[in-house]
Amino acid sequence: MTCQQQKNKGRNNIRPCYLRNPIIVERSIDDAVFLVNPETDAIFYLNQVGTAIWQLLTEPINLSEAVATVQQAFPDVQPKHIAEDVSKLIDEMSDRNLVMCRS
Amino acid sequence: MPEKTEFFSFTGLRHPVAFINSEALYRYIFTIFRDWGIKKIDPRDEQRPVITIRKTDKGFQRRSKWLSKPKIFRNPIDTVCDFIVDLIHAYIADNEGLLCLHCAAVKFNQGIVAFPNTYRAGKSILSLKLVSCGGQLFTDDVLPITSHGNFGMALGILPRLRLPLPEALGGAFSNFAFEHAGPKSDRYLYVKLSKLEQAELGTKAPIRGITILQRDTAAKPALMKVKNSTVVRDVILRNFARQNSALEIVDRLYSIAEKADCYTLRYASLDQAVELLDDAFGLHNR
Repeated sequence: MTCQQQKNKGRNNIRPCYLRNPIIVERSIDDAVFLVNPETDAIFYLNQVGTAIWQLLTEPINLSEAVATVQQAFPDVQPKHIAEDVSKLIDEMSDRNLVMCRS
Repeated sequence: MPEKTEFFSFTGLRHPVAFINSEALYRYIFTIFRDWGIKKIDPRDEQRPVITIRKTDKGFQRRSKWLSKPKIFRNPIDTVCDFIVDLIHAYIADNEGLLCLHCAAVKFNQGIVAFPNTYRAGKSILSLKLVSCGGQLFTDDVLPITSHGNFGMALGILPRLRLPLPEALGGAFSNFAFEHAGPKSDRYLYVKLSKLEQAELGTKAPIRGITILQRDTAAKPALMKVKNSTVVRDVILRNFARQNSALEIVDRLYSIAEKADCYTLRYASLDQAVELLDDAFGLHNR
């Protein structure tokens, strides 16, 4: 089942959890994070919000928990925007195999 | 009419380059690839050519494994300009471990300063201005990075300016460029530098600075420190030697950025840029 399918399923009260794909290698340079997928040789650069989410994904976390934690870190940003951004970012990370879903 | 095929070897390439009815290119190639020890060889003794250029009715047609379809240019200079791309691909493929950055690079007193390629930021013009002020050109477009020590390596290919030169550059720069004029078309002028002004192919030097160019006529000129991560992100986009693993690319670029002074140079005129870079890295003649 894809992450999106699991996410859709989550709308029916089963919330998928997300966590880092263990094959991804992280390199922190200054306050920036670069992720490398050794299987595809793709390199990703994370922005500030991306880095915050990546830090959360060391342990399995569901979307609501991720949104709540990021909201605490960025109290001046409208909650609606944070929810949209976090959801979009996790989707993108899933699409690029940086994170995995667990039901 | 029978075809005249000639094979040439180039320093650092395992396979020859084939030219078919393309003698019109030779004088440009011998001049522009200043240090590549180009030698005519016997086609029968060699393996398949890595690049083939054939003169056709439509122009000079080039084939190589880096092209999805043949490229054709009418003008000989334009043909050689574009041939450089494949030749560098071949050089990287035959010299394992090289990273290759899209940037200009000039040697100052303290080592090489690299100027990553940003659209129309004037890296070629600034590099040649620095040469006219005592710097030594390593490259105006592509800088190979050695696998041992991450040194920058000179390519020994003449630098190229887009014509017409902007009037704002002033007479001194134009005089320098035209006094050193090499092969020229309506679009491009190659600048023929001496070995003192341009390092020979294979010359290595440490990278002491990485400077992102930002031409801005409105703001005050300044050389501003930037984070290593900004530089790494910027140069990753400009590395095109993809035979290295992604992790190795990130680690090596970080190691380079860590040892270098990383700046953004905001400038409106060449004189301002030279002054700021001279203060930071030192030029011989100033």
